[in-house]
Amino acid sequence: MAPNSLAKKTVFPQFLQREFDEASLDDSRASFAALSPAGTILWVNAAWKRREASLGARPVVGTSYFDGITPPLRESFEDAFSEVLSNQEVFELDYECPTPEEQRTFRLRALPIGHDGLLVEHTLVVSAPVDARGELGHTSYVDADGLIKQCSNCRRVHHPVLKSWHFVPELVANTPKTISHGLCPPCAGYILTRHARRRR
Amino acid sequence: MTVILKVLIVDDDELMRKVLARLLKNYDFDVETSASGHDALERITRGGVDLLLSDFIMPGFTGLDLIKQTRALSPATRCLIMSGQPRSLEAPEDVTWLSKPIDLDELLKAVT
Repeated sequence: MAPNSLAKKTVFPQFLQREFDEASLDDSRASFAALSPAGTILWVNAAWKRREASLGARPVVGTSYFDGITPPLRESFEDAFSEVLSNQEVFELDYECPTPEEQRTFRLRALPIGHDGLLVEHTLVVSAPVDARGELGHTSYVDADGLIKQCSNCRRVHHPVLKSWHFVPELVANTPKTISHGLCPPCAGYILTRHARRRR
Repeated sequence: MTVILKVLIVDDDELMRKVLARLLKNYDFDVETSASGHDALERITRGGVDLLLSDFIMPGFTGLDLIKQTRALSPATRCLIMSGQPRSLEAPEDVTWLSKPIDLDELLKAVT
């Protein structure tokens, strides 16, 4: 029997009913959310609800998808999702979400469903154990020059050995003087795309 | 007659150099880049740099070190720092301190 957190039924949006089967999305291990054009979460699948329950988080249906994203990243996502609808193109972004035990990479995909809304998918694409040396310890982010490189836009920090970008909340809250601010590849692309449209 | 300003961007981060260069070229600045303070000083020695836009924290050579030496070599060059760190107390008052992430409006206002 489904736990109580899964029992609350939300309505599968009409715009998804044309092309998607709710049961199939519920069977998926990926987390799915249906969004209105303004970003309001209208429906989430069972995997999303299981994750909410495991984190003890409040149900997100009825809230804005962007509420969970801190500035300045929030504005980036609002722009990107707006372009998904206006250009009718899929938006994809890989992001790291490590735990002390695992190096995990997720892929976010936002698909336009005509102009009626979006289907957002979060899939775990890489999961590897952190080795005994503690690759995710703060000292491991220090590069050969003794500096820590942080993206000035999304605030992720670069791991010089893993060659990937990670969210490390402690380094955002307390910025050491040895942090050098650069740009990660997705944010560099985003900034160029955003400003290319407003040439004088 | 429009005067095209020569801007030298100095940043140890390659993507930051590329993004800043592309943004300023879009607005008709003549842009060159250097990956370190040492490279930047070599370029400044050759002359013709109207504006120095430098990162603050870089390996071996801070942006303020660079500005100090630039002023000795090329007093007419205007100097700006762009950093994610708060303004350093050691920064001279006439040095503009811009914040990262990039705010294009703030950047254009500072360089024009």
